[in-house]
Amino acid sequence: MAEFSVVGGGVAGLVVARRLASSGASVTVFEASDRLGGTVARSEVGGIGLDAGAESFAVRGGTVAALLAELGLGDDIVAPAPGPAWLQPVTGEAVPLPATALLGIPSDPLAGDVVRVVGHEAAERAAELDARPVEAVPAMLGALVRERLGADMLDRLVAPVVHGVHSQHPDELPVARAHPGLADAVLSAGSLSGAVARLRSAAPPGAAVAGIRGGINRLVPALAGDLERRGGDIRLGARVDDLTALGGIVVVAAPGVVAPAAPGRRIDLVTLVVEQDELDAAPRGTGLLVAAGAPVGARALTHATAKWAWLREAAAGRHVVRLSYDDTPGDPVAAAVGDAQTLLGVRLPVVIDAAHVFWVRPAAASALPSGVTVVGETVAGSGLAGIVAHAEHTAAELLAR
Amino acid sequence: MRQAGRSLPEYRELRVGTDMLDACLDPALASEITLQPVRRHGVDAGIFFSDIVIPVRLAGVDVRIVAGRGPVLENPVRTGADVAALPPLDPESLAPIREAVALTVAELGATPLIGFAGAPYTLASYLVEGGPSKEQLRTRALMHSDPETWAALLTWCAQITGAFLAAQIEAGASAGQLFDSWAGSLSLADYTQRVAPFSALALDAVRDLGVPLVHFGVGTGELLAAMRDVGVDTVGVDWRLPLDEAVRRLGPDVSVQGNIDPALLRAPWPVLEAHIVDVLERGRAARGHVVNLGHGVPPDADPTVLTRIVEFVHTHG
Repeated sequence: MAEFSVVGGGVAGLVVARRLASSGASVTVFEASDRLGGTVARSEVGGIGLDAGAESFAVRGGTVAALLAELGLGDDIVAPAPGPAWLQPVTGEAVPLPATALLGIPSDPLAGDVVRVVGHEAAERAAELDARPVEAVPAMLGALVRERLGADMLDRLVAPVVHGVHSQHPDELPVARAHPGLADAVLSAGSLSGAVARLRSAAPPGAAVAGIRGGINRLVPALAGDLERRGGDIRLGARVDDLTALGGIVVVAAPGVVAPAAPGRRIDLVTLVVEQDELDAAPRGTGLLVAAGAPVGARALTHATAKWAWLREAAAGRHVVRLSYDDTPGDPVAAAVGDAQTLLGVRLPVVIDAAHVFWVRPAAASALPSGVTVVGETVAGSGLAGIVAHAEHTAAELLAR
Repeated sequence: MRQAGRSLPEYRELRVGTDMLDACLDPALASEITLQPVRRHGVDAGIFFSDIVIPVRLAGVDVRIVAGRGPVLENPVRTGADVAALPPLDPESLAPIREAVALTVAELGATPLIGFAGAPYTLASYLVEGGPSKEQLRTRALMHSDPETWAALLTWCAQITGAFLAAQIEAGASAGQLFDSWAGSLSLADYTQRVAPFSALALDAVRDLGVPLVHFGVGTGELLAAMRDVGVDTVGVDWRLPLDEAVRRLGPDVSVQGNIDPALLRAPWPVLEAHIVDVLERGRAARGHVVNLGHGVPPDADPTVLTRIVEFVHTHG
């Protein structure tokens, strides 16, 4: 019988181990810490159980959904509340992003949510400009938007969104980077807004991400339980310093094992549980993206009780907001309360509880020693969809050998 | 070690009577040439034998490799009309590349293969100049005199070279390397505003494939951080800058590749050895260090010296 040792009990390690065990192999998972799951973790803030790390997964590929279905969690997959994302621009008030847009380029310049951001005059000017026949498509996004929708649409809507997503001005973003099919779509649709409408309608319907009722963290005990049912052995507090001492074929599912741990990128998350009735109306939808250069330290804010219905029920009238930081603030909770007030546009005098955690995203592996099988974020990038797909694929390859 | 093959007698023998680009498009031949230096030197990875103008040729543009000179175009691309007339690359035409990679990967077993493609700027410089040039004057002039044509040209280059690299990785290459050999002729401002966005576009074609990416240039000491920012895991450093200084400029989030001076391949071994020890020591400042030459292997390099370098690094690295 084939024998495998999996080093690391995060999601990647558990997925590989479970797949190997289900084919009848003998599998042992070694986890250095005292808990499984890695950056998928549960915490309680203000008595509410919620995700301390990852809180959603990308729907693309269907890999995570298929895994959840196998684990009996398929019926608990939930979509986030619909509604536009908001943007905190460098200056001025937060604005809702138009519901049907590509990087802020609207599919209808005269739509109400566009007019609200750019004003009537700019919206009408954009509609006029975009009604002219298309002769050629400029290669840079800035030139394309300026030509078809005017400078105001570019400056007030598209530039802040592009800056938020790509950290670049549209004048420095090739049209092909905005969307590989955009230039052709402009030519065939005969307008830029028409092109965006076509691309948007061609995209699969529904949200790009999903969650699990009760939190993504439910994945971890489900995976571990299923692995043990299939005969897998899980050892907590089992640090591995010497891969050669392990039995069977070794799969590494933790950063820093095959090579000295590279300094990763640290992300700080602050979760606040607050009482504030004005938040019932979800004044910033499910959350905001903060443009680089805006006068708050946070990179993004998620209004978690607006985003997830199950959490709203669990919070029983209170609200959960979560802020993420690329640079660790001096006093994280105080900074988060201040930033949340600015971004949400409400006072937050009653903070019931707060929690600060940080995760270190391992740097990508640059050179792997030959003959070692590695799964997880160092090789599959960040995001559960990619990590699960890569781990499943790796297990299949190992079994085929 | 890129271009390690051309210093080998077995390579020269194999190439007799075969045009360079034809060799690149013959899967069995390209695979064998890729494998030769791996077999001989025992390096930790192979680098795919090809040429950066292969996707240009596969798109149907008349380009040849002239021995001793490099890629030459019959009709240089200099106007908006020239750029508009550039044909798209048919993905099917990349079949010989996919086949060569698949053959090579099967033969290499556990040794990884690094895919290879030219960056849009370096590719565009050949198209605009009509061949290799010292300072890419016409190319850099076009960038400023006709920014729209420039952007359209670099978009085309990014799309074909991105497809070329993606074909290699999809066929089994374990890493991808983007070569901007001429980027050193650019100011930081020109690089950041008019070149880097297209290198990022080229890499968009392979970002979801989950392999590490390396970005290489020559004379790019002033551009290192900007080359990192197109989104890569490792940045190549030529011999001009010590690795510890390169790491200071790059920060902790990327690895470095390099940077043994190819000129020292001719030096007496103790001199070369001292240089390698220095490179290894300074490279310890980095998150990771892919030990390599700072540029391609010179054609007249002594293969036994290359083998000795690999042995030395394996023992002392």
